[in-house]
Amino acid sequence: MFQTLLAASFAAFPCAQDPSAAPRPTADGPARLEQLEKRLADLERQHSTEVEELRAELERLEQEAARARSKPPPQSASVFNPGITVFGNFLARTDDRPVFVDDDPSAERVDDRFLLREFELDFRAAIDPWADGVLIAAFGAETPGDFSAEVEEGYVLLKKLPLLDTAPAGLKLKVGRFRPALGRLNTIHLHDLPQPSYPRAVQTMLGAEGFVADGVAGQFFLPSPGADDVLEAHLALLDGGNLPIAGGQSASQLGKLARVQWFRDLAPGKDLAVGVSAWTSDTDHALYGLDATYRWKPAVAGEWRSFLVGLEAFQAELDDPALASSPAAFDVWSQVQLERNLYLGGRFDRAEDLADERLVTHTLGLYLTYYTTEFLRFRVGYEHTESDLDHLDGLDTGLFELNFVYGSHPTEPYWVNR
Amino acid sequence: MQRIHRVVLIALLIAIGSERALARPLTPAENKLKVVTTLGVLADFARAVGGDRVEVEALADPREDPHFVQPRPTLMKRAREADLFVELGMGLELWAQKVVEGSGNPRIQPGEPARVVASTGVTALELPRELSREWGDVHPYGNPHVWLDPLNAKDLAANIARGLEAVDAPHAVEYEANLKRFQEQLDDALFGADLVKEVGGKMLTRVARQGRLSAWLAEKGLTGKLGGWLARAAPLAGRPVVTFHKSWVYFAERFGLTIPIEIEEKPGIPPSARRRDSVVELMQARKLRTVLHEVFYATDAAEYLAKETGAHAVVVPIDVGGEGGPKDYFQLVELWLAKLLESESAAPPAK
Repeated sequence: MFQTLLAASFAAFPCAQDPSAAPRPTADGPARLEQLEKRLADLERQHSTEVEELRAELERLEQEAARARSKPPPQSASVFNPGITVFGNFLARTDDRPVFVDDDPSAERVDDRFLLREFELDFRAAIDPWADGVLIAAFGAETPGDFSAEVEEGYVLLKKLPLLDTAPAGLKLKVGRFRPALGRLNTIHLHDLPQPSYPRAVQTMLGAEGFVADGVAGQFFLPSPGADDVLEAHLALLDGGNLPIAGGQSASQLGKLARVQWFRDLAPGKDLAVGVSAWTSDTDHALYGLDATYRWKPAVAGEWRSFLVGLEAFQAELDDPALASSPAAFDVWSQVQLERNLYLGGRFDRAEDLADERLVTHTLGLYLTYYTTEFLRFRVGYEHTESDLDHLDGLDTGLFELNFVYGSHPTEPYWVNR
Repeated sequence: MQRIHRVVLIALLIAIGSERALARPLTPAENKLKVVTTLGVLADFARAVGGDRVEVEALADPREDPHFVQPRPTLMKRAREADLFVELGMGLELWAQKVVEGSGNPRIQPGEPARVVASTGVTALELPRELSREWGDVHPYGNPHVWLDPLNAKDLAANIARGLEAVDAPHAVEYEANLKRFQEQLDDALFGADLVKEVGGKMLTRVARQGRLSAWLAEKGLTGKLGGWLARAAPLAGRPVVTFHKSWVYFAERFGLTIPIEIEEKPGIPPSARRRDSVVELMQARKLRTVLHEVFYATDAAEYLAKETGAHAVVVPIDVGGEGGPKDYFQLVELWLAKLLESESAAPPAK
């Protein structure tokens, strides 16, 4: 075959068609001929070895194909089922006095208990090329065994807008039930918090488990000057209920939420995020928030060393004679990574009572967290509370928390990296 | 209802206004395709294949563990304007999807032509027979550190070329030509230009992939003609080295090293004191000279092993770029070989 190809190549050579066009012999003609002969020999050798190898390869592939044909297809329609993940959170506490659900002395006691606080089932999958679906069902208990089920989040995330090739300002839309971006920690689920519970500021202003609402939310980029700065805006229209400061409000009264966050890469491994949030409703209640988080995590050995410090403050404006006019609350927290799996954290909370802002409660907590892997976490903590409310004043609490994750949830960075 | 309309209108105006404000007139540099990659090596391949038609940016810091990059808003902003987004895949950069989601860039969502998974079609090693977290941070699609084998680098570059051709079809011929040139450069670097000239890069690649290059060269009487990285690495053939993480299996397979033990007991699980001691015992028993270690891991364990056994801790990057780091893939492989040869040619451990 090679000889035939060679003959055809020479036949096609222009000299063969038009002798007058042939180059005149030159002094380096023999050398050039020798070079060409050598090249030809190289090509011939390459060709014959390739043919030989290809024959062997073909034989092997035929055998492989025959083996593959005899096997059933490796996947079934179940691959379209959503990814399922289970999160579990267990808490043991010991207190020096009676403690009640929601700090309400008329409610059930929760001191000195073992408590499987929460189980979450997380289902998520792509719905179609335009949207992803997320459903997070939570089974929570405030007292042992007394579980109640709720949909903590269930939403459709539109990644592409129908009929548009580009998303204006990178707009992303979330429709359903979700944790609105009111402050920094509210969007984080209980099992991902850097402390065993939401800060008192969040609990007082947004609810014991944070603020969850049904509605529509959009997130988009705002113009920002440089590559190291990002300004982002969140706007949401929410149903009106489910916020402690809007206790008397009907769910049908519209709540509006706006948040602007400025993020800056200060230096490699160091960044700062500052956010301002505002919520208003059809009633004259309003809630304003300010939050800031500084993070340090070096590139080299970043899984062994990190530091976080955060601040979150809220101020409410309430138009209800039964409530205080402008109660405020804040928390400051920090976490230092001591080695790959060990973190030391602390938090200071200050919250004014929604009914009477002169009644103030402070809590100081210290926490030591150990991860075997990102899927299993042990945490011990101590909290001391001082308060103008008698049943909380001087309260000392010891805590042990165990958190576990299993299922299709991928290997995720630790909280500090999220 | 009127209030709803007002709020929605304001939101839309802000969004459209922001978009307009961000849409500056294009400069010649901005007429280029913007390629955003997760890793520096992928950026290097994209530059080689895209040539002057692309502007390439890598998201991960080359000194950073590619498994655990923080999906920061600044990365999302960079991905927002990408015409092509390239990730390695195989579960290595789990943060990449978060960056893409946060970018709000519909062109680079999964399944779109502008989203390239560079490892597509690359033969994976260490495919788990059983998927369980009991085995640590296992990767369901096999060990993802495929770029440490230069032969796989050719496939990664080819997949990037397919992506560029999909989003910029008028210049497909140019991308193909650039790809061919890059693959030939890799062949020359790996096998030596003379051998490639004589036998052809395709043939050598095929035989090397089948793991019978040495035997084949001997059979053809070409052993002495092997050049490039493989010839330089000849003294490393069969030499056992200890590694921290299972990053080096592809490199070891290509260059004939063996890895009898990793410092990590299981992937992603930090070594216990008992584990370190058992690694020390093995190193002492077999007089191992080298602990091969990625730059982004804490070096405590490697330094401990070096101190206990007299071996050398070879701490190297596995990605391209950064200040003082390898400028391209060729320099990266050169660096690995130089450091390993230096360590392995040193006197054997006294202990």
